[in-house]
Amino acid sequence: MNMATETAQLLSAQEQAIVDGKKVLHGTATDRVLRMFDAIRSYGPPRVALERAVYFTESFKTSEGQPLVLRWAKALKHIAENISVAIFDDELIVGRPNTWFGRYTLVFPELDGSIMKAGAEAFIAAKGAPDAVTVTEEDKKIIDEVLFPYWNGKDFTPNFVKALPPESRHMNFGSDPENIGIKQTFVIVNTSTMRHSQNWVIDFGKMLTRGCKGMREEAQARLAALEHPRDLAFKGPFYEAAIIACDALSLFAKRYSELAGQMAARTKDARRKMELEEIAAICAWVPENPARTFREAIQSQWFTQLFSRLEEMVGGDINSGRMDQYFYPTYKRDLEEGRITPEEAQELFQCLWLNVMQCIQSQMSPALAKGREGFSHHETVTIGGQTPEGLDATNELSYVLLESTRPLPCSYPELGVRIHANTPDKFLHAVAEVIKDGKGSPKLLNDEFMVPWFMSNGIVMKEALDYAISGCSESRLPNRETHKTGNSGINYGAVMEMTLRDGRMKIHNDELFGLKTGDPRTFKTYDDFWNAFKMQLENVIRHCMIQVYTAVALKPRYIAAPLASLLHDLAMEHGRDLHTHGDYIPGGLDAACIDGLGGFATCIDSLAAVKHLIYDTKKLTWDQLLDALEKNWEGKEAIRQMCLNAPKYGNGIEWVDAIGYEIQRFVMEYAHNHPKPHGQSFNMRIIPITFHNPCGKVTMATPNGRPAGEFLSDGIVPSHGCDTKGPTVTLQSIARATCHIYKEHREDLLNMKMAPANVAGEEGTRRLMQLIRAWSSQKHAHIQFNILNKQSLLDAQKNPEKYRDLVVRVAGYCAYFVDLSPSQQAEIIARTEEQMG
Amino acid sequence: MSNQHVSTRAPTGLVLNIQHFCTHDGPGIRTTVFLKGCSLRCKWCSNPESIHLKPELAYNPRKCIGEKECGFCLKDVCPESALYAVGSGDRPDDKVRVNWDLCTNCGRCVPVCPTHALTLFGQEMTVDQVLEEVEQDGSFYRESGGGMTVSGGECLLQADFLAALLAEAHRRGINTAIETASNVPWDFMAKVLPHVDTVLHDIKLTDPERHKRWCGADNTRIRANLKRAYETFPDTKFIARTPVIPGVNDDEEHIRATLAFIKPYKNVIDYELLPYHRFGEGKYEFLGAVYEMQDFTSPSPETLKRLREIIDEAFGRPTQAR
Repeated sequence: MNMATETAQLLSAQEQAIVDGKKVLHGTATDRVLRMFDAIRSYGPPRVALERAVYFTESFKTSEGQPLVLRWAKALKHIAENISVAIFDDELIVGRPNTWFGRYTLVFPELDGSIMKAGAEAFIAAKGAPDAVTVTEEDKKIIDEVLFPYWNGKDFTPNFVKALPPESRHMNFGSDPENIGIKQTFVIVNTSTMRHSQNWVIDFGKMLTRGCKGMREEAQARLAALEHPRDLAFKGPFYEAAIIACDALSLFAKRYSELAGQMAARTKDARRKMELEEIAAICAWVPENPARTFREAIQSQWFTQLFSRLEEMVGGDINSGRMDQYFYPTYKRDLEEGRITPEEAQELFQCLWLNVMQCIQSQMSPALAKGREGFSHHETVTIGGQTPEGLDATNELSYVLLESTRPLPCSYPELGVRIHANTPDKFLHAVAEVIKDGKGSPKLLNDEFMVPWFMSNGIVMKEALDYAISGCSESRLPNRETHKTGNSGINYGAVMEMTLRDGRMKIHNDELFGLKTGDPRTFKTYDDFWNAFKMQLENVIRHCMIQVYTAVALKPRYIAAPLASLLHDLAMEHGRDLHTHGDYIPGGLDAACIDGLGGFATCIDSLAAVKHLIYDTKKLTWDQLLDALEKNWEGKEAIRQMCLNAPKYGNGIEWVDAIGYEIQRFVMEYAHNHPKPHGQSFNMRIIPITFHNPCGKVTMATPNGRPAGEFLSDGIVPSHGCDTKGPTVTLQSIARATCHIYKEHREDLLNMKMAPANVAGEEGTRRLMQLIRAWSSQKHAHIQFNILNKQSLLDAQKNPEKYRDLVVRVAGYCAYFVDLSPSQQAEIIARTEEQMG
Repeated sequence: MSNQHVSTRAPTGLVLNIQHFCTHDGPGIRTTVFLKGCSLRCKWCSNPESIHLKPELAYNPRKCIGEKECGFCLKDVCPESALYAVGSGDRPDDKVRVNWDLCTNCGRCVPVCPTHALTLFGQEMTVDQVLEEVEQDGSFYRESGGGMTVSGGECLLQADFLAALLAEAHRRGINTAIETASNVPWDFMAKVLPHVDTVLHDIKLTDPERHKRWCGADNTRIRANLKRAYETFPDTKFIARTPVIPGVNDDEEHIRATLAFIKPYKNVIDYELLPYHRFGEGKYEFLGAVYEMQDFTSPSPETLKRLREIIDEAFGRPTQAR
């Protein structure tokens, strides 16, 4: 109630750059980088890049009947031999799976070839929509005549749908027997068909220090040492595949070396000639050999990352790991020996970010694309954190990398910072300054949550301390965790609706999806209602788990990953593909998750409203409430207002926050009591990507005052605009609703939005640092910020041209605001803007 | 407002609001408790709901959804029949009106209003109840060196409650600050200040006549209180503040006179200028009051910069970027 400071209308660096028409938000970028950035941005929407799928298919036609891992390696080699190679002007870090300088998306017919035809048609029909992918007539022809005919019926998606028990299939895919995966009910959400595996981190450091050569030699030695007939039968093909995969990656790089050499010979530009010669020399050496310089290390990392994308579509992408750690030795040596300056290192990093920026993950099923709006990408780069010895791990390169992400108006890389109790103020200050740029980056993960989590799952401390951030808000141990299937997701909104409607879903013609838990009018007490809710929830989790088991059993018959496996200590040791996690790789951690995809707070607030209005104060009867919900509040504004103004999660009201805790506890307890056969757990977390939007579309009006079809609440945070007491109370409420008592509790996603004025100046930076410190000591897992003015977002809706480069934090990734659908834009605008006094 | 859950022995205060994550009311991240009641009547007051030391009904017509949709407050709720609607169900504006002359601020209409268009400013709370809410922010104080600030109104008017609240906060390890205009009997200050780490006090005007004209009382008692406080509590930090209002006190003379007043005392560690912003008008309407002076403007950045340079010079420090 104080007089406000004079900083009420401040803009973030990003907003200021848009207003001023500047290309660089903060610091400087070289002309080379700016030219490449412009070229990528002006290319237009992403286009499907089909060569990978075509050569993969060609190879598969010739290898039928052989062990799958071997077929996969041979297919990779066939791709490496035949895929077009291209180097464009200004590029320093080379390698791409497409033939144009712009955004592309790979397709994976082994995953969804059967629905690819329909998917391509949907994309063609959606041309011009913000999230449409370009599919040309020529592309369509290849899909229809080459990919679809071979893969129809042989791919994972339809076989998974058919393999599901009828009830599970119905809950997820509805009653249409023709639907083999292209449409989902969103009562629960299956994501295992949208990727070969859940997000993944490769041990890039291993490739940098040993090269393909070193890995090949290890595989050859292990193959030679096999003696037991069983090993020869099962492990033999794996090591053989590993050797072929090493050859394939090396070959791919060598073709770039040759191309660069040819281009150097042709060019008249003396400077470019030198650059091309250098590229030729570097690609002749890495990734076959260990990287000797920082530049070689970056090129080797990129080849490995790119090639692993050709191997498999990993949901949430192939994450980049702890870059400030594994690049540091070569950087330090180059710096000491005068081979590089921090500015040059920044430019190389930016070249890498521009390469990453062009790769888009999209789904051939438009239903799944809805859950990942704005071309979601989570190939997170991790910086900061601790060393395996438990010391702070930040170094000079952490700062160089952090700064390299600031100049360009783009959301790449997806940067994640590990925060811990001893994160130096200097580093936290630098991180807070970057957050204040307003691009929603970096996101933060909390060692004080993550390290104990890994340890409670049987990991020793020094390994736990070396985790890398992965995907939205997860993390990985690149040599310990196994691949895992895509998650199944809970639509909490649907759980609430089924509780209110005796198991039926209004939008799906009143079909019965859940259990018959009774008409709420018959519930004598709030506990009756709560118990019905729990029964519906348990049923949904059960079906999610059935899905996971089905997928886990099926995936090794359809999918392999020799490259990812050969770079994994345990897979290599045991000669097992990472996809065989269902059979348990000894010492491996299979941390499959079941996600709450939206509506966690919607449910808390709905339960609280029912308790408060119907049972505690008796202001409403069930008849009145159910009638208002059925009518979607039409003519029932007073009742809706009562519901809107009932106590809400996120305001420090203990009994309301406790409902959240009980939901979490219940879900985790079920998971805890139903472990996988080898004793490992299903992990429960609350993470929406953008699924809270499509999940909301199928959910009727809810007792928290939300109208039918509107987005559900996002992640672990309170419902949009309902937490009104500022960020400290919001965080405290979230901490209270978080259940830590089971090892099954994994990271929840926490979004926070603030106007730039609240963190203005040096004082504001310090305030943000204090907020982050308190967040860390409260043991939250994750947080990310949108530091933008609401007015800018509203302007951007009206003037998309002016704001085409405006980056916003969506979920575990950032995206261009104009690439989002209107309803997703509205959802971001509606998020609570935290106020400070 | 009901007192039923309040033990009779515990002192209670009339609390207007508890605001979290405040960053301009003392060191670090703070929680600010606003107490109701004020002993000045500044013409530019932007918090009219804080003036009277009694609960007050407020009505926000923008939240009201009208008699046809709702009308709960019109159904035999108000014992004085102070609530009415002019429109009939078919007319566009059937929003409720308040006859302020009849309203006794009993608050009976508040719980029936589903939209919170009708609210009551001022709630009786015990020390424990206040601190329970304040301590939600505990981990943020630790990280930021923050704590609790009690403001108003004039928080010193509720001296007994305030002293109890601050003493208990200290006992729980919470850093304390108050915001005051100091226009109270010295006894009140003497009772409270032993429990305060930082006193943020206003010096609105230096000339007694002008102070009386703009703030409704002259500043003789304020100046005497402050001098005595500086001397009696040498270990307490004081920060002087001026709400800068163009045409009232945005002149160098006022700044220099204030500096002359505070500079002899080492425990007055800073002098802050708070630019006036017009935020309070809507709230006057909600209370059925007329906003008397509507033509105050905010000071220009140049004026603030010039005045702050004088302060920085007096404190012997480089001009701070703000």
